Amino acid sequence: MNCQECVERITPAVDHYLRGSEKVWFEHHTLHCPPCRQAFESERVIKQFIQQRLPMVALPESLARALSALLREGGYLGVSRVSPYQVVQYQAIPH
Amino acid sequence: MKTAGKTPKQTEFETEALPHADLLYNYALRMTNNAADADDLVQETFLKAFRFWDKYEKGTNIRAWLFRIMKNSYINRYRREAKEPDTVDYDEIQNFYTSIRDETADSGGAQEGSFDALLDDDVATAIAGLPEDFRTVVILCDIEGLTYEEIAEFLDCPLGTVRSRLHRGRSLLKVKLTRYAKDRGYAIEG
Repeated sequence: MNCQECVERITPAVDHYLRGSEKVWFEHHTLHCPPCRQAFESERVIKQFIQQRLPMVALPESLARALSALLREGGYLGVSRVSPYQVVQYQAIPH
Repeated sequence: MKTAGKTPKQTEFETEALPHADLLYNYALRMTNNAADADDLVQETFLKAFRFWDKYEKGTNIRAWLFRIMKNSYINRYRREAKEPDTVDYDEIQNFYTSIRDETADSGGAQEGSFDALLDDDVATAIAGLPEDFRTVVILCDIEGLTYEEIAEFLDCPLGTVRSRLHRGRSLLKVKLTRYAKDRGYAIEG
C-alpha cells in the first residue's frame, strides 16, 4: 500500500469499516509511515471528540407533547406553521 | 377534530414515524444550533409527514423519508432566509490542504486532549459553521451513529461521496477547532 491508497482508507478505518487483508494492509502501512499514522490518529481523535462533546440528546418533553397533540388532532394543529409555498415544494420531492 | 380514539392512520403514524423523533431532533439541533429552531423544524416535519402519509411507500426506509422531508423544510427556511444558496465554500476547500499542512506542522495534528479546554458551545458552533453538505454527514455519522449505507440512502448519493464528505468535514472541523483554541489562548499540544 502506498500513501495515496492509505489516505483513501483513513476515513473508513476511523469508522471501523476495513476488513480482512485491507485492514491488515492499512495497519501495517500506518505502523511504518508516521505521516499516514498521524493523519489517521488526527481524524480518529476528531470523531471521538465530537462523540464525547455532542452526544445525542433526548427529545424535550415539551416537544414530545406537541407531537402527541399534533397526532391527536389529526394534523390540523399548527396548520399556520406551513406556508402553501412549502407544501408545494414538498409535493415536488421524489421519495 | 377528533379527540377520542385513533384512526388507523394515526395509529400507523404513531407506531412507524414518531419513534424517529429523536433522530430528527438531534439532526435539527446540530444543523440550526438553536433548540427553538430545532423544535419548530421537527414539528413542521411531522406535520408534513402526517399530511402526506399516504405518499409514504410502506416497507421503504421511513427514516430516510422523514429525513428528506426535514431537509427540504430546512432548505426552505434557512436558505431562503439567507437569500442565497448554502453552498460549499470552495475557497476554503481549496485552501484546505494548505491549512491542514500548516496546522499539522504547527501542532502535529489533533491528539488526545488537544481541544479539551474548548467549551461544548464552541464545538457546536464549529459544527454549525461547516458547509451544509459536510455538516450533514458529520452529524449523521459521528453524532447519530448512522452507517455509511444509511447516510447514502438518506442523501441519495454514492457511498464514496459520504466517505469523502466525512473526511473533509472532519478535517475542516479540526481546522476550526484549532483556530478557536488558539483564539482563546489555549495551547495546542504538539
